[in-house]
Amino acid sequence: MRVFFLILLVFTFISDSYAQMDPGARQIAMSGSDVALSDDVFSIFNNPAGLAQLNWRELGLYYSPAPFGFKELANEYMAYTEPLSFGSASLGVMSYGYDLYREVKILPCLSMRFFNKFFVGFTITIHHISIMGYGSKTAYYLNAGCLYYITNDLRSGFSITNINRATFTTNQDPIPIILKTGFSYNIINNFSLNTALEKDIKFNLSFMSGINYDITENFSLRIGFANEPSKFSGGIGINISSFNFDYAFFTHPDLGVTHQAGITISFSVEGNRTTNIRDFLKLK
Amino acid sequence: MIIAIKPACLLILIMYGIPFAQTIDTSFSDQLVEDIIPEPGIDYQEFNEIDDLDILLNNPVNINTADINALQKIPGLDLNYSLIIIQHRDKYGQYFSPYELYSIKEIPKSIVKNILPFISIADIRNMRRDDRFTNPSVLKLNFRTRSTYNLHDNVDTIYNKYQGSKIKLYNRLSLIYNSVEFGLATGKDPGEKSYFDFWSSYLMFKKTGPFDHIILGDFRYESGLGLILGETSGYSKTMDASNPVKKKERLIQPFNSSNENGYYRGAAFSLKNNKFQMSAFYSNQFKDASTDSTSKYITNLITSGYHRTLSEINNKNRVHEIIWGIRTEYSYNKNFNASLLFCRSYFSKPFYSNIPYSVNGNRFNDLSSSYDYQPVSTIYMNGEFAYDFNSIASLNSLQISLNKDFLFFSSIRSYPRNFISLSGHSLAEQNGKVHNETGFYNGFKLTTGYGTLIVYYDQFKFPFGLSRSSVSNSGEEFLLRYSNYFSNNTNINISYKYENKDYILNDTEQVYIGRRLRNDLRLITRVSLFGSIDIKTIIEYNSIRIMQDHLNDQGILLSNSFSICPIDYIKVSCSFSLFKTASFYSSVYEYDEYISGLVTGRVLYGEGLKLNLYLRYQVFHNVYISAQYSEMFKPKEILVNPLNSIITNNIIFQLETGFN
Repeated sequence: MRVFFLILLVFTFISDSYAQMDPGARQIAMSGSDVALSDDVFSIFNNPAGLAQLNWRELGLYYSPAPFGFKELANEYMAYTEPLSFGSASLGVMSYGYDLYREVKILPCLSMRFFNKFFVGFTITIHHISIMGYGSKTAYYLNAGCLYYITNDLRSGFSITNINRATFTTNQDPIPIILKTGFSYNIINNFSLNTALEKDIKFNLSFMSGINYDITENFSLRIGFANEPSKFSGGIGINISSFNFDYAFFTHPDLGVTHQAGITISFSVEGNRTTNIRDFLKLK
Repeated sequence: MIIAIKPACLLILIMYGIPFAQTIDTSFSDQLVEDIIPEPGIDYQEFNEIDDLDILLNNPVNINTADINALQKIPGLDLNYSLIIIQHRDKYGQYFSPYELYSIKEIPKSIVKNILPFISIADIRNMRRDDRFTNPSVLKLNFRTRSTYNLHDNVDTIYNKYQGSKIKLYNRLSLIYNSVEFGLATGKDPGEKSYFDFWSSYLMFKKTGPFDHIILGDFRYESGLGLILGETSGYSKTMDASNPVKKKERLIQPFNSSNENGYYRGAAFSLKNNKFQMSAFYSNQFKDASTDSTSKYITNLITSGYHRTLSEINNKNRVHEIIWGIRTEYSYNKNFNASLLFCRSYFSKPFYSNIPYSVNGNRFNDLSSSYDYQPVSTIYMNGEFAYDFNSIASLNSLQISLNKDFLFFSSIRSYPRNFISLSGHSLAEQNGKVHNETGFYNGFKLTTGYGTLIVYYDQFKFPFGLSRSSVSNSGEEFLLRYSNYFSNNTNINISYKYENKDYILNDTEQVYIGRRLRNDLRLITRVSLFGSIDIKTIIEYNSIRIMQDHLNDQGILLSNSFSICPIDYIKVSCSFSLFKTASFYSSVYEYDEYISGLVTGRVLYGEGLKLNLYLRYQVFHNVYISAQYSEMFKPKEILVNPLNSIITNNIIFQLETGFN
């Protein structure tokens, strides 16, 4: 049993180092600085409050077969959101690892919208972990997020992961508890500047910043950086009809560069995401 | 799989169903609280300043008659704002309503909002009836009961050695009937056996016959700038840099607090006519003290208020103190006031210490004169000279209003090494202790269309090596604070504090001085949405360096809090903070001001999280129930020693009721 926990700790650390907690090629391209932007279906893994900004159905798929050349670190994400009169209901699924070690997360989520300016969201993470030959464990924990418009162009948001301090083990060492807070500002309608601070209870404070520039209705450019760990990222987005294809790369101080890609399908809506959201929220 | 359900359930309760309503909160704004209280210096500290606000709430300042002195006693009002209020009154006549202050463009709306609970317009009440701001009606009652319970099982082993249970209790009752006021307070600390371990009560008559005030029972007495008789925290350096230079002398005040120190037990009165005011007091009470093995001498007065162990119980009421004082004040043309105080105290046992210039003997006499002078409306001076029949201590302050937007203030203090003041607390580096210190405090407040800038710079020196440090040492402190409101609902506060102080290093053979440099950067944003949601973010970075000790530490704090009134009679709040500091030296801090009447400060160090959940429910028209769950979690300390990790894990319940 002791070996089980040892392996568990190693993998938990590795997954933290890779910062794959917040999937989505858009998010990765902005170095995870989008806690106050959170305007696509992958927000379920980051700040679930943002999902209430969407009044359309959206499906997101993200697959990273071999980050930094290690197929053992393969991870797949899927997320779906269904708009409701007061917000949205969503579901996220993650799979990480390989035959010997595997993590699976299932995240049901409820997001609520108030006066088109204030959003809150909750997810319950069902986190299952299995190690071949040693058994498996499941933990349940609550995440919460909040997003609000200070002005029509300035948003602020924060999210908390593992509020109830769930743990896989019988000692008090919990699954990462993370507080993330930040701002997002639309300098012009199609150019947003995002900043965030992230504190994992076990790690140093990390500062993240990123830019999303929708150059045309069909093409977006993104860059970002973060410290702790030091990271530089970039990416593009191509929007064709209801399909959004996103590509991102990011650097790791020890492992080099890796590439990521994802697709989101926005049902029954076309065009620029920012414009669609502003129209829906009646922001001038 | 282990799930900590308590916080999760409470949070779900907080967040579900959020139709918004007007706030019912009657507690003070967190910004006001942070402006008037200093940084906490220990793990957990309860601040008594909130009691002063409660007293002011029951005795609001009448802005139609108040002079410059009275107005400056209101937290948040400095000389400039006080002058503006008076000038407006002189120009347009008496105020019809406190809300009229909103029409004065020179006073920011945020300031008006903060001071509204503390002002009245009593003289013209017939013109506009507003129960909150006019004179008290026939009978006013306020009752508050609070219990605090530590939930963690691990502390049980600690409490086994105490005589009583781990519950903490506080009860307070005040009754006001026309000009008569009665108050009663009881308290029990965790581990104490008796549920009435501490009690205080008073009976006060206002404006009775020739007397302005008469108090029987427990009271506080403050004179001048506190060199002889002062409050512990009255002149602390805070984020509101003008706080230490404002005169806060309140003479006789009823005592109705859970604080077990800083009060007198006996009788006091004051008389007033046009130009003269006279007051006197007599107090006869027992105090906690530690004595030497022969029990002949007092080695230390104990102010912790704890009576949990046999040894603490043994020190309870160990010495008998009799103190009396008489004071006269003369006012000339409303621009000049001067007062003279004589005070004499006697202890049943003598103090003894072989440390030079420490307290010795059992009889103490003090003579003090204080003044305030306003030669022109824009210049205000005040000060105090105190004589203990050995040496003279002095504190003098100056405020100059260069224009309505710029206020300069300066203060110089000199407390000799052989000046002894047992009840004196004023502007001083060592917790207000008026002893062996010189200092020069300067600052300014600049209000612009782009926000308010506040600066202070304080230099101080402890000329003689005494008990606290064996050699002379000095230091300096600098604060820069910027505050602004954006779009009426967003407030940003950025403060930078720099400290450069001597640090005493004890080597095996010699004592030498190093320098301790501390930089603290703190950003607070507050956003108010729909009048019923408040969201606050705190980011703090703290670094400390002691070169000679090879110490170079950093600390950070990231905190988010959220308050909402989902319906008229409910308020819920939660806060979540993560912190990491290399040591206690680089600690960060936070205040908790959710429970009305209770403000606590916590020094956060090590690595962990702090969680607060708060609920306030208005059961009936004037009955409120509050509950707060607080938890500190430090995973690394738990792995090392579970007992040390339990800093807090408690729940507070409070019931409050009152009617007019």
